[in-house]
Amino acid sequence: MKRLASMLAVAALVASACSSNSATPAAATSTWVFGSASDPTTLDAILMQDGESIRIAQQIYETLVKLEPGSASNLIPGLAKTWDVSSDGKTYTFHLQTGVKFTDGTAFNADAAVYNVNRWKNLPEPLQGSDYYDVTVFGGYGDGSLIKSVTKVDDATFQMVLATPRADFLTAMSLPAFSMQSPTALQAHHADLSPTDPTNDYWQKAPTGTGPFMFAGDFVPGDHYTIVKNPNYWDTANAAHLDKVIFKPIADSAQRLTALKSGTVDTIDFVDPNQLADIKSDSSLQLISRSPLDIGRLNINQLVKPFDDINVRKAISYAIDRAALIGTFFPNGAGQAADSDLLPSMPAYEANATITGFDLQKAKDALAASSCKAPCSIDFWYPDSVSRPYMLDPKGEFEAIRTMLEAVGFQINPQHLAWKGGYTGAEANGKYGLSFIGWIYDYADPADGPGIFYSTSLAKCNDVVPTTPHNCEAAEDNPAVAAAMAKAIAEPDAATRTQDWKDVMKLINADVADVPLVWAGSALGMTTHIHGFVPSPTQTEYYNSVTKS
Amino acid sequence: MLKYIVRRLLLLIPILIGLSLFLVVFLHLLPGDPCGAILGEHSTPANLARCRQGLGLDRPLYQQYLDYMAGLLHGDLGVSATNKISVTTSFIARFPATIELAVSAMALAIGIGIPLGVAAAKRQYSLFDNFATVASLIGISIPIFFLGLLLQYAFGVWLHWLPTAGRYDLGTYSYDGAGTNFLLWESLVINHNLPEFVDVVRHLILPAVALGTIPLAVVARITRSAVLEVLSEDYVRTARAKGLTSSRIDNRHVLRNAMLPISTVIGLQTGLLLGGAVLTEQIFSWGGVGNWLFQAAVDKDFVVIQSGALILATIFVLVNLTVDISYAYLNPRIRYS
Repeated sequence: MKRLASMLAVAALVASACSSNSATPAAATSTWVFGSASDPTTLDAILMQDGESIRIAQQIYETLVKLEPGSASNLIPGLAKTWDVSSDGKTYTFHLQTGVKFTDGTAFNADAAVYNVNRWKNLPEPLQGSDYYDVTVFGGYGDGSLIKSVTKVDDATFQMVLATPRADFLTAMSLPAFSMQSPTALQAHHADLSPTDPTNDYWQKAPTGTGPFMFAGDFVPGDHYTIVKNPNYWDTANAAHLDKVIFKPIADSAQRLTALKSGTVDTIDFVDPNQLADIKSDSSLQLISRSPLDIGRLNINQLVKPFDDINVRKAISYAIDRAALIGTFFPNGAGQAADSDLLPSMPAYEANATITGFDLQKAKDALAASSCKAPCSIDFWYPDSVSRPYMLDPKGEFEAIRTMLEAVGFQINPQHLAWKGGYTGAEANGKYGLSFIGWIYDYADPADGPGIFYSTSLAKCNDVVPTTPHNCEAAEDNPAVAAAMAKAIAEPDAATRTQDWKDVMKLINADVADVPLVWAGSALGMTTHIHGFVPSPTQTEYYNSVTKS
Repeated sequence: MLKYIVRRLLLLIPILIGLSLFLVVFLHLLPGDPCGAILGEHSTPANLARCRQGLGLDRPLYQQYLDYMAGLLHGDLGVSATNKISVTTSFIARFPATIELAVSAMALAIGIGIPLGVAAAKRQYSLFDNFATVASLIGISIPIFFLGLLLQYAFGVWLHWLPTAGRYDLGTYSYDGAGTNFLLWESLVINHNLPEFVDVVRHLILPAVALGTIPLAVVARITRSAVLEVLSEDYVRTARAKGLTSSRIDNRHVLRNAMLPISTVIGLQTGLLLGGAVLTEQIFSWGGVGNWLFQAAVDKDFVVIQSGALILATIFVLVNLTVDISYAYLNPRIRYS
């Protein structure tokens, strides 16, 4: 009898379970469950560099200036109401919003801003090495930093003086890495100690900003990260509509789609191009596409033979049928054939005048004119175990390009290594002659693309200290490129600067410094209950405008 | 017995030292390090050098190992290179999820596997026996990832009966990790909330079935053969001749004697569950230890892999020790010295 009773109880439980199918209370309608790719890795803003951390930081922190929603270059006021730039392009005076409070109740004012900027300039030694954006934008620490000084003018005004002008400085200030964080919280949670010090629990316990959302202590690693509406947000017109956003890490794109279709999450990011049609055909789902702001390319190291010969580089570039490549690997409009490291949406973009497109005969002629006659044997590297927006199926793309190159007289020696197994490090150190790589822009400015991967320095390259400034990755050491790039990066006048970058790209394209392949967008899938999402090419959207019906 | 247990526990020390040494050498022989994984496209020689210095990866390997072991002796399992969260914190947050999943899978395996095996043995060569044999063969053969995807598609996407990811409905309920993180316990015993408990059970069903199918099939097969062997023993025939009831013979004579090989298999399968949990947790985005270690392996997060493997090895040894001890209770003739 007892057994029968327990069996009935289990049956009743299962029946109710199967039929209930999430009897969601009314309050849950303002909770947005977002299927992200992984947990955040830090929320100490200056140490962030991965997309999932930045996605959350964009909601809980604010920067002095912001990118207009949906734009990759238009700036709007953030925590700075207005700003003045001196005629020499070195002194920036920021006039701050007033009445702003961090979510720990402390005031955001010039003192807090100066504290944050000084922290970027004099980043404590244990934190150095994890601060990609800090070192990329400001170039170093202390006296080596681009920030010469920062001073408070009054409670609502402060001034930053740069050592040299940097034309994209204000745009760079919109990067979430340069968010304003509560000095009180940073100090109370020992954020300046080594991230491996157990007392430094700032990002795990108390990431504190001024944004429309805030962290309220709900982070279970591997399971979810929750942010809630900031009830005291200063900009009431732009306060969050949702009560809560929960980020659920789901690493695999197929699993993310399954979770979306089964109703486990409301939204997923980085939809695989092969899934686009599936989402489009489902009336309960909507597809939100982002314009491309990246470049998938073949890097060429000109120090490695036979790539020192420009005719070999030309032969490779002419031999690749980009349209065919994109038709196969970036279906449903997921990518466009690229002929430049810049995108057509950037004012400095110009069609490549050196390599005018796929041309088998020109490829064969170039190889015949080169020092490496057919069959010209070359190593060609591609990464394993990775899928990036600009490189969704590296092995498949490699095989396709291999066939194209072999058709014009190259003999390909396939080489591969796991993306996280040392590929990127070896590639950056210039160990590969020809390799797959790509770049995702943080904002639409050439300084944040070619300005970085064609930069030259005296840093150790492949364990050797160069005697003259050297571009490690591609060995694009053309002094004319370096000079033109330095001029473009410093030029404050927008029109002149655009022309400067056109000049830089002409030189780079004339050198056939790399082989641009694809500009790829990305897409989100969401249920039709989600409204007000404004996609951005930078992949860092604001969630305050989002509602759920 | 106590002496035996102490000796087995002391054996853990050389096992863990050997394993840690092997892991350190093996991991560093593999190409790549956490910095390449962290920096991705942002890798430059200067960035990589700074990152390696920050994580102490520029020091000689023996020094890294000695520092790691010194920390271990002080109970410090280290810190993840990727997210700088201590291994202990991550483990404590995630272990309950894995335990809940593994226990559910094992309960399924034992709860269904043993009765299925006994029933099949008692009806040897019947239609039911043939069906059970074929079903268990399929159960053993079907890869977890395939079964997991199949279950997700059928019950999640197609029928919309069960959720396909996570441990509970994030939009409805809230667990911030402050409690035990054993959600069955939290929902039913702490919160006294039946709908919440049902929600947790609904989330547990598919991953537990995916993870539990192989051990279920193995347990059913072993039970069948063990019971068949015991059924042919003289003492069973004698018991029948003495007129004992069938259920008394089954419980007192057959099952008790058949339990030795079954418990061995259960112990081994419990250890293997941790391996299966890696796949299952990946497929169902289950925030457990398996998912964590898988990601650490992908990210070349040396410290997490080392410490995670040491913890799992310790658990594996302890589970096996428990099984060995259980022999003595199952069969009083077994004595350890």
